Amino acid sequence: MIIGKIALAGNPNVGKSTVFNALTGMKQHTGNWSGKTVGIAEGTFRRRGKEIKLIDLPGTYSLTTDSAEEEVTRDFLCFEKFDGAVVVCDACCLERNLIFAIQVAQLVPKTILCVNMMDDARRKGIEIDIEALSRETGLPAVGISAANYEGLDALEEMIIDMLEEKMSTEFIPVRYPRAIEAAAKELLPVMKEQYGFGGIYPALRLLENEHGFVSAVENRFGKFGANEKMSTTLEKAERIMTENGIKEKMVGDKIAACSVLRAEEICLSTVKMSTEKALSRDKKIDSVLTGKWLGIPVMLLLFGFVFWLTVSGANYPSAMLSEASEVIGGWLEKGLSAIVCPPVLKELLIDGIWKVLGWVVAVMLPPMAIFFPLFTILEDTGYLPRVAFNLDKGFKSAGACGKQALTMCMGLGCGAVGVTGARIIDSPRERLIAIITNSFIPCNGRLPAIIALITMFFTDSSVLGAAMLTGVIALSVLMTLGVSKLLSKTVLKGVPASFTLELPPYRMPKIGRVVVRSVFDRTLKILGRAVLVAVPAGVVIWLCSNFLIEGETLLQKAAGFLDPFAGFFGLDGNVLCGFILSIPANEIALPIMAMGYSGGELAQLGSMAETAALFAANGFTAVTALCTIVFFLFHWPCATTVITIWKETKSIKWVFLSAAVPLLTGLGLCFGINIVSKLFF
Amino acid sequence: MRLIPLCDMKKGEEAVIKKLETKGDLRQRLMDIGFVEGTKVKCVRISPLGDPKAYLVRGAVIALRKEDAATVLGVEEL
Repeated sequence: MIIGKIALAGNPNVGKSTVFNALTGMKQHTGNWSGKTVGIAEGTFRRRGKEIKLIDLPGTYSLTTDSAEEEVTRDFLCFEKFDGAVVVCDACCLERNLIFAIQVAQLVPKTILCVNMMDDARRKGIEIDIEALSRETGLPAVGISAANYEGLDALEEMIIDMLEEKMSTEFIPVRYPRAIEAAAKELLPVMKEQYGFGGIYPALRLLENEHGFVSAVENRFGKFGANEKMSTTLEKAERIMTENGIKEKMVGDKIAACSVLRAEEICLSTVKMSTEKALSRDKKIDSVLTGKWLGIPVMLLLFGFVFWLTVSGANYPSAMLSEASEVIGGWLEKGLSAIVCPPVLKELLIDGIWKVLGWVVAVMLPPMAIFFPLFTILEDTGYLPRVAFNLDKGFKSAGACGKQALTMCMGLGCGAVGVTGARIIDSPRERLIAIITNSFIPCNGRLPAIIALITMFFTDSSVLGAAMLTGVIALSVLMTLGVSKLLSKTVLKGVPASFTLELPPYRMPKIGRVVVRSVFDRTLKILGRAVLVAVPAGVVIWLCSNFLIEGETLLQKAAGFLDPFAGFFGLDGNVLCGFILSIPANEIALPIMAMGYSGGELAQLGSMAETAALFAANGFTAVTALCTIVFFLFHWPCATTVITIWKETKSIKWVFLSAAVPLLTGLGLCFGINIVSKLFF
Repeated sequence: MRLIPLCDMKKGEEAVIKKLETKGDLRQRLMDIGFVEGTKVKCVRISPLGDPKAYLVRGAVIALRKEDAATVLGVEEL
């Protein structure tokens, strides 16, 4: 039986999700930057035979501003029915965290202060006196290290004691100017009586006439003007304030100042540390990672290293997986023959569905299984906000948000991840820019094909190849910025929104958990979606390569039909067919092109030299190769990404633009390359 | 007493906030993370491209763009 419902709240980056996971055992992804949890996760834990429900609210800095996450948290805490709150604070930055905790304590009568990452703080020479914290605030307080499962028992006990009212949870109130307190005193009982929610914090926000909160209340309960008791009380409260020389405009500032000073006061008697000493390690790391000369080169090296590991490390397991899929395919074939399956159906199942499926898994799984854990480690250390910090100026001049640098990094792994990741961008306009331009960045599915084309047609020296690949990525970054700018001058008009970016303390990632989490949360999720689209794609591809019209396969027919059109853009019909058929997953584009040229069925690519010769024999020149590379960078997002864009934006318009913008860019660039090459060669 | 906007601070410099001229949502956000009158700030990081700069405020490191930091005025500590 569930005996109570507890909300988990706190600033971003305080390990709130780690606490939630540790208590409930539910696996939810946690990352070291602002705003990872959007939407509300729920879970339960059991202790002493009692079951308690936990609600993990999005991390926020306050209950006032109108970002989507803060609204979710504020509305939940103000208007939902629940029995108490746990505010998770970061021990390394208690003072700032307490500002939010004080807001919650002034709203939720039963609040526990849970100071997380005590181990990190100890290591940095920060001492926190939990007893004093409890004494100074009047609230129950507990110190834990959720990542090491320390102190969780005490927290669970405390939650139960609080629910059973075995301990005092009387918050020692913040002192506000006397007139404000008197006005709030008028308002509080009426608020409670008319709307059913209490707390000094919402009363103050109404006195301030804070537009976000006022409209949230009016949306739920109707206009204040229509409620006579409420409007006369508000007028009276306002009169009390004006008589004492306090204007509505000043209320917000006064509330903030009083809460901030209260947090400072509490910390004076609870926290012992030398800030300089606590931050000196981060300062040293940052002098390299965000340093004037080193910051950007080190960032490039770091990402280069991650790619190199991904691409080179994936080769061997990829080969093994595709061998395994061939062997299993052989068994399946025998099995199907044994049960007297019609040959056409057998071919469709084996040569169509199974081969494409095997292909997608073999090509996608290994790079993802390497890239995502590496990326999650970078994420957990707190490095990613530094990337945004380093590159923000470039994005600002493109009318976009520095955090887009992060969604681009995620896009290097997988477009769908990049699109979901765009949630970290607060401004809706800037988030859409990041989503629409996300497919400009070559993902794990396209990079190997681009590398193969470079090696086959331009250079076999690894140094020159790497240089050319860097050039290719630089082109996609430049186009991202250019098109972002174009979008922010046209369909997504607006000025860059102001932003505050927290650079959290560096933390040691917990490697074991990182691997488990990134494999389960990201890799398998994306692979699952890819498998879903691969099955119908397998059918279509099989039909295209086996259905004969006038002695030609459907694929060859289609290629012939598209040829004149593709010729304008320096491509040929077969290449274009490859792109169209690889909508389910970009990984299969190159093999389909090879299949089209050879007239055969989907098979493993032979050696690089053989494939290059096959392509060349079909009139594939260096110019075609260049145009194909460019088109690989800019065409349309794969089916998985399109589904994700729909899920994130719920709008046909933005899904359409996300496909049209890269396509037009690609066609334009290829057309240009084709014209120039015709003029000069 | 000379008021200096935070964006003009050099790395390592400290100041005490005297006036917040920020408007709109950002004003509320800044106050909520502790940028109120009388708060000590220190400029601790500068992006390799010169903007944004990051400030140490109440134990947290917060990066602000130039235009936004220009609306927060401080005085050098005596």
